[in-house]
Amino acid sequence: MGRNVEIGPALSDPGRRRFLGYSGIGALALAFGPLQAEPSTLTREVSRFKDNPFSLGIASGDPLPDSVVLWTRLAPEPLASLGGMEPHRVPVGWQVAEDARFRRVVRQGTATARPEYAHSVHVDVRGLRPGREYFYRFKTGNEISPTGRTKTAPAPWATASAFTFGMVSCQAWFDGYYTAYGHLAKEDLDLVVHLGDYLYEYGVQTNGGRPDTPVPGKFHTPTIHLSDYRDRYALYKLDPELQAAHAMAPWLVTWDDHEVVDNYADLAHPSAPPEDFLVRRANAYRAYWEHMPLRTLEPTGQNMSLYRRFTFGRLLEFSVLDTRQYRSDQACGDGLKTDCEQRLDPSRTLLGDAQEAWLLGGLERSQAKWNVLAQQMMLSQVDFNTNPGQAFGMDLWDGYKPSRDRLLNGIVERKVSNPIVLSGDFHRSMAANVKQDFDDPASPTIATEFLGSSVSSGMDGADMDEFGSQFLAANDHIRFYNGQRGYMTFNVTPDTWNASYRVVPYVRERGAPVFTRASFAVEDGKPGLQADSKSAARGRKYLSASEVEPPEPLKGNRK
Amino acid sequence: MSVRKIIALLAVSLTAVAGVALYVGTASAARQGRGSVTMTVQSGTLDVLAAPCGGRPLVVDLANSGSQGAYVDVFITPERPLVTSHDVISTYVPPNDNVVLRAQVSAPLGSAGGTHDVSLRLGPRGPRQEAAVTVTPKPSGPGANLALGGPVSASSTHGNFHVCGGVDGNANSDDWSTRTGWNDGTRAVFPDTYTVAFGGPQPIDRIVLYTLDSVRYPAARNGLRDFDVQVLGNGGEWTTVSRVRGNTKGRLEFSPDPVVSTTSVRVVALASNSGDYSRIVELEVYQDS
Repeated sequence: MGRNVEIGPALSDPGRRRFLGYSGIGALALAFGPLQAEPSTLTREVSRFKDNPFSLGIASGDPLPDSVVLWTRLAPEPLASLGGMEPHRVPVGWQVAEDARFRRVVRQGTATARPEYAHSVHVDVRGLRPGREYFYRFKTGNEISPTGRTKTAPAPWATASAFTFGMVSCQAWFDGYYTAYGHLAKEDLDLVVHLGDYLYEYGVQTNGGRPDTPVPGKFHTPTIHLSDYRDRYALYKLDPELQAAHAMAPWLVTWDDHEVVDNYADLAHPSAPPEDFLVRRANAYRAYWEHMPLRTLEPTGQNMSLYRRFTFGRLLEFSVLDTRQYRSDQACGDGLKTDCEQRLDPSRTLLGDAQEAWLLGGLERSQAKWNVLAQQMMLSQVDFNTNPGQAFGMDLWDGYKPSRDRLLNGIVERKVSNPIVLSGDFHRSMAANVKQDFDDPASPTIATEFLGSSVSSGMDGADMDEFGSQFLAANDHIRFYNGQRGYMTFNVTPDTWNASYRVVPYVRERGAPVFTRASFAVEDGKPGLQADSKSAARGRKYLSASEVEPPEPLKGNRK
Repeated sequence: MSVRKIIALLAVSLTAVAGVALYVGTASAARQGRGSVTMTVQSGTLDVLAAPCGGRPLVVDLANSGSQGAYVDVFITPERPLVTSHDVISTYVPPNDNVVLRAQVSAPLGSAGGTHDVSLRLGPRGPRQEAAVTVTPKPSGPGANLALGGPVSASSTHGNFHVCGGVDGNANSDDWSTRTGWNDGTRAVFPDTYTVAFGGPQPIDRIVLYTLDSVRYPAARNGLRDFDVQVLGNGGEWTTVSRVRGNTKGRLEFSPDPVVSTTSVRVVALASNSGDYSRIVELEVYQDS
């Protein structure tokens, strides 16, 4: 692959930047992309659109102390090819204000929606003040977008007294409604972290999870081409509850596998040889970039650097990881395996050498009280077998044990302050004490892991199921399980890390309530789940293994 | 995508190709003059059956002879009565490599026989290329498989499958999930139904059902176990013509006696041998056979 990795979000060479930074309150500045000679592509003001061009909503993300990225995409006919746009460039104005009525506009400018990026717009707004709430909107022709709320990171030296953020993952559109997002949008959060599976490559069937929303036939097949992925993002982003969640706070996003295809590993996937698969990955990565509020440059080809670091004063630092693009192929043919020797091969990697070195180096240099790994897969060991002998999922960190040992030992050796692991992917909630050696109960707890459930993937689920009972019985370090849908919220202070599992009891019908199923605290300097409170279960109480969507390694053959 | 296989084809066909469109990259990744993509229709004249599932893939090769990758858009415009699955397909084409695209071309039920064109352009202003498509009316009458091409519907369909997979003329379980087959979309929830309609009453005397049965996926492990075969009556009620329990076979044949006249046949799956999904490779319905 041999690609130079861009380290850190804000430190890249400004000469390569897509956006022009500028300073001076009230300055009118342009946020054009690189002005490559494209004689056949004209920029044309469009005053009248066939329908609302902001049908896919707005978003912000990648907050820095002085900057945040604003996103939108013009799509007056969101499910039509190219969003119903003609193939020329369109100017899009943007404003950032201190108030929701835009009386105190502090930055504004004009960006260009380009057809080669599906008329998506990314604006890296510079010159903002740290730790501040802002409001933003776009305008094109006579159309004005909804207003979004965003927030810059605190100054690097600031000791914030509190920081709150939400965590989400896994939003299969066809499995149910985004009720969890509707509730998330009503929380007062400084940030939302998305751990991947924003999109699923599977065909969307009209008779699937949302029978009230028929979709055109082109959505019935899996995503392969750039246009397929673009159309699928448009379908997902049409959801008003997802749009509300984006409009509420800046997001930090990373991908898992389904943004390309189930369980791919680097360029390995059973559907195609690597030299063919790279085309699908290139298409998927490009569409992901087009639809996310990312500061990174647009990808060209099959590679896109996504791992990056965000610091929120002295309080916390996020290392946002990519556990898909650089990993070794799953050991022993993937799935659930017992006695797989290959999973112990130290030459195999989950992060890739460059990302692993970047991660450990960053953790060593961090000045933050809480150090967060925002990543995809359950890091803690998950033994599926309650009998003697162990069975592990080969797609999880368990399938890459030496890679995990290097990370955990690296954290111990560097005396990393308060490591916290966030994970998704699994469509169930768990809380775990991360042990230096999971097979030794006397081994020290060195970090705390919060596995957040899916927004919709897996359908309604139940509070407990047969798999959850087995996980709790076979893994002493796993202290909590819930098999329903939802999101997590975290309230972080210098002394305490508070985590809440916010659960919706059903998603196959609209309008489910949200409740806090369990809360945990982690105290400064004491890794592990130190206290907890739980509420009564709601919705389905229990599902047997045959009734519930099985965890990933038991889902059968890969597609 | 079997790009490598198509390369061999391309080598043969390039010499004979006239009117290959040249597209000098206007996409962002291709710097001026470096990305150079050509488009070639590979599939020749297509024969489509005038039925919802009677379409055929139009196969288009995109070859990039430049040293820079390119993102390109293929614009697809069918001549009436033809319909295409996509009007635009966009893809990355790696440098010095090629990519094969497929767009499904079909003709609505009741379309007259004839030959029509699908027009393709590489880029919004690229030169046109035409692909010829021959439409054949759906067969009926003695000996014809009335189910072929549908219309077909299902209680649900798994995201990796298409509802047409059980009436596409491919009864080969070795092609399961790669080229053919229907799999319901609700795990461990029964019943599942798979329904084919004829557009009018037809006398039928033979129904053939293929459930999944291959060396890799034997019917005894993955096929339908318990199911009813039903026909639609004049009053809209379903009548069971055969009730199967404990099946382990891959191919089953049913002969309504006496011959029944019906507008629709369906399979109601009550259980599968794997307990999770219902799987049908092909459903055939005949008259006077």
